[in-house]
Amino acid sequence: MEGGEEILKVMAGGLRRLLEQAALKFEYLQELRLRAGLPFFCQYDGKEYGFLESGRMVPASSLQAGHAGGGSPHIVSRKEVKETLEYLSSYSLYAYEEELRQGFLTIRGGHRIGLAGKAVLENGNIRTVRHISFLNIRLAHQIPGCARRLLPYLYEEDNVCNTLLISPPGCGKTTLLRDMVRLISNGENGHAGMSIGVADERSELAACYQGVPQNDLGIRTDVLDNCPKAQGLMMLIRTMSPRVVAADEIGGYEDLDAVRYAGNCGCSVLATAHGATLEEIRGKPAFARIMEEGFFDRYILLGKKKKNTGWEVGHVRAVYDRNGQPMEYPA
Amino acid sequence: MTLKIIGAVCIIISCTAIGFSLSYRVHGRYRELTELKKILYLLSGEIKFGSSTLEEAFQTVAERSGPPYEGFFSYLSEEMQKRSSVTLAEIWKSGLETKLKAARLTKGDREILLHVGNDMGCLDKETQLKTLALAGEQLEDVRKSLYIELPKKMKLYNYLGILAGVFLTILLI
Repeated sequence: MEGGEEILKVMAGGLRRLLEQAALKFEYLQELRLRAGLPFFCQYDGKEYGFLESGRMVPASSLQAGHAGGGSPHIVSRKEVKETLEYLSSYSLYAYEEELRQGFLTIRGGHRIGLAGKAVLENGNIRTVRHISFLNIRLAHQIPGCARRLLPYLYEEDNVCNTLLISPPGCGKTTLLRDMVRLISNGENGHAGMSIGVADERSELAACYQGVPQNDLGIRTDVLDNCPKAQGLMMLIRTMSPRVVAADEIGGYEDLDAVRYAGNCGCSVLATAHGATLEEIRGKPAFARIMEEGFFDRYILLGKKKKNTGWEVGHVRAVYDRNGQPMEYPA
Repeated sequence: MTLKIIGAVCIIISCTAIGFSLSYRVHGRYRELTELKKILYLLSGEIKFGSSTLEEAFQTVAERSGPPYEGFFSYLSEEMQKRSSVTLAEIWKSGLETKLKAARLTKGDREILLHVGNDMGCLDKETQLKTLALAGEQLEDVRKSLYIELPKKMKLYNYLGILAGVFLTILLI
């Protein structure tokens, strides 16, 4: 696999061999799915594929129908899941206790691993997850420059607009936010660079490894890694005096209070939220109030766009102003 | 006669040196056990307060500890980074056999260390810390009893060396 050494390194030996034989291009690989006792699947260039024991990659549909020529499908063993988990956690599952509780962990490179197994409860809350048998490895891709077309919408004179990126899961909002941070931090299109504070709760934006960002977030960006968004935003404002703050996947009242606090302190806010339409976001009680207040100056709606080989993610469907009126895009 | 005297002196000196080196070895074991205890504290601290992974914790320990453990822990960290289809217990065991071969630890001390390796990488922090604490207690027991015996043992080896030299000289003359 070209360029995917980080991912190959964390896969169990048997699965690593399959991925190497399939000679995949890392930039098209979106997801890998491991389920103990079931076939090994991947999402590649918008389509689902399975792997044969011979290392050949075949469409998942033909694998399911049982007419994949060239041999039997590779069935992921429990040992392979365990081995992959050991590599993912650097043999130290205890260090990811909090992440296990939430059901995911982030590894070097910003790749996010979702996991499922048997939940262990304590006083009605999830304490940890044992017998982990399902892994979903979502690959993070940096696409430098992908937010450049949006830059004219992000500035009003020399100030950055409070912007909310809205998209369903897997449509590239984190990638787009990361690039927006990078461009604003470095300064583009004649705008001066600005200091930005990033509250990176799930280590997806900066993908910090031992405190150092592995992704390029620009030269004026400070990152508070692994810290709850609401607390992180407030702490950044108090300690690093940023001009702009950014956070991924805001949603709770606490998050939105922190966002409002940032606005009151004179900081611009860049954030993302799950949703398919502006109305859906408006329908969420926590967002309804802040939208009524006209806090956000821009709403950017993302989605997938059908193309010949599959789906293109990160497609900007519409840009709205603070009153929810669509703006002309592209300008 | 002169030759005999020279030979006798040589025998006595070499036997004394052997005695002293054995005594030094016993003292060396004590120092290594003390260092190991410090390392276990350091590891616990890294896990408890730094939430470090073992790979990171071993790296830190390698940087902050002296011989023979620095080589052992940097070996563990390097091997873990390779992800070469071996378990941590296997890496730990091979490190013990290769990098701590020259250490003055006894078979019993090595057994304790081997158990530590088998119990590394637990699901939760609490169990991991308790495992290290248990190993620390076991090592402390060994260290304490060695500390009590240490002066006696050192004296014994020193005297035995000299006496063996004298005895051998008498026998040969």
